[in-house]
Amino acid sequence: MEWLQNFLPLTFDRAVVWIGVLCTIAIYSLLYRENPFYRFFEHMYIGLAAGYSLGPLGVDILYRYWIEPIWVQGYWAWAFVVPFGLYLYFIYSERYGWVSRLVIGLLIGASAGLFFQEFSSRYLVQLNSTLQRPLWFSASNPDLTVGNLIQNYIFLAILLTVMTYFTFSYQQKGTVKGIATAGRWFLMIGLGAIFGNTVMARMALLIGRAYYILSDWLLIRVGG
Amino acid sequence: MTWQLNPQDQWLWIWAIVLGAFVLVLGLIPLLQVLPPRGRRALVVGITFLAGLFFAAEFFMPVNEEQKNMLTPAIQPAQNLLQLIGALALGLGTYGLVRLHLKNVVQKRTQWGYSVVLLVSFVTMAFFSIWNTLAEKELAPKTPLLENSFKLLFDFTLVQLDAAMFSLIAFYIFSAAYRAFRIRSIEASILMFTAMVVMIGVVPLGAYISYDLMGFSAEPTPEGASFVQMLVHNLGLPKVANWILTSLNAPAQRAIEFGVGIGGLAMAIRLWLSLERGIT
Repeated sequence: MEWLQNFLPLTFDRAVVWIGVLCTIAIYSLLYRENPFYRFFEHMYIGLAAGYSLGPLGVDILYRYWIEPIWVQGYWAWAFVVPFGLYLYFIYSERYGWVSRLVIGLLIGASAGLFFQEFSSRYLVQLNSTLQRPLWFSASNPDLTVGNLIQNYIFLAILLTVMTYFTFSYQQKGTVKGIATAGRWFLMIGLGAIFGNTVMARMALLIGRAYYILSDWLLIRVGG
Repeated sequence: MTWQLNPQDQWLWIWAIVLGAFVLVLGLIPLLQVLPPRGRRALVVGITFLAGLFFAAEFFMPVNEEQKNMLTPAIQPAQNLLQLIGALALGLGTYGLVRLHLKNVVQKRTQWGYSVVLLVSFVTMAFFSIWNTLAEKELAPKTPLLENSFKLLFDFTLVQLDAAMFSLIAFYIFSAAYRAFRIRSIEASILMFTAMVVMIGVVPLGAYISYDLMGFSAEPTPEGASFVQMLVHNLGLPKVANWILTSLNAPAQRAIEFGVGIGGLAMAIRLWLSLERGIT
């Protein structure tokens, strides 16, 4: 009797748990087949997600980077940014549509310029660390063990074979084709590992949902 | 000319400048319209090039002892500007979504009822999300209505739907894997074997099979162990899974990343110089 009292949605805290479970079941109903119950919650999900983004991504940024600099700090030049950004909204106009490309051009140009920085801070660092791997015993590498040395050779071999597989500038035949095939197999190991990790991450979410239904909704004690 | 005004004393000036900026920038459109198609393209190409040049120049220009050059102080405001325009672009996406579903409702297209659901949930959530953002900045009152409504809409509806939607993918991954692994090739076998080892190795089941059932050593390799001893100490599934992830997966990933990096750099240069015709 006490369990039933706690289970039923008689308080706000219980009602919201019931709503959460209803959402979960509605989404999982797709596993049976496409149905109106799923479609209802799917549209609600899209509406809620789009509506939510207006707060932290719209109003918050507008306040932090436009209203605050102008009306709190007094930097008046920022006043020109929003009207210029509003050019984007002319994209739906047949006559003035081209002005939206001024803003899109600015965004694309800036992204391209920023990629130089990203290339340096991300890829060159990786290249550097790859090339610094010791491949023989020397006085400058006193801590190098046989195990580490083998690992370094394996690392380099996989890197070079996979890169050979992705080189399409010339026809792959003979020895190069053999190396590229080995690269494809190594790539399968990498993709298998990613696949395994992705499955486990999704399983963790699935377990989380099952835990929510069993523990929070049905009030069944699960685990320790 | 001063770039900063005193908001307390010169608020009238600030309002006048903001209004003037709107009139000036939006009033520029009829003038821009006079440009011939080649002139318009030249303007877009010029803005694209200058925007890219600014960030590229800041990166390539020599720096002083403080790791700065003459453009460095302008980087943060430039990034803020991009954030601001990005936020306006988000509004454009939202506008497109609402426009489409409003059309569905007005024209009573097939299944327009779902568009009503979307619009109602959008308006409700937008109202409370904006109110909540303003309340966090102490620009609006934080009432129990706001707290309960936002909790209901965000924590107990949106978050739940989000988690359910993403966990649903687990089923489709299994289904896709079943179909993929039915193709009997060396590549599919390698992929399946690696995935199995990683999946079992990273959960307690892998440790149970390796250490409790098969009796492999769970201890780390002792100092000064021979190569054979090292191998014997690392045959447990969790250690093999870890080795696959760090020693076999990492170089394959890095090779892919190098390819992505070089391709990205080539594409960035093409975009910067407006050689990609379809965009600018």
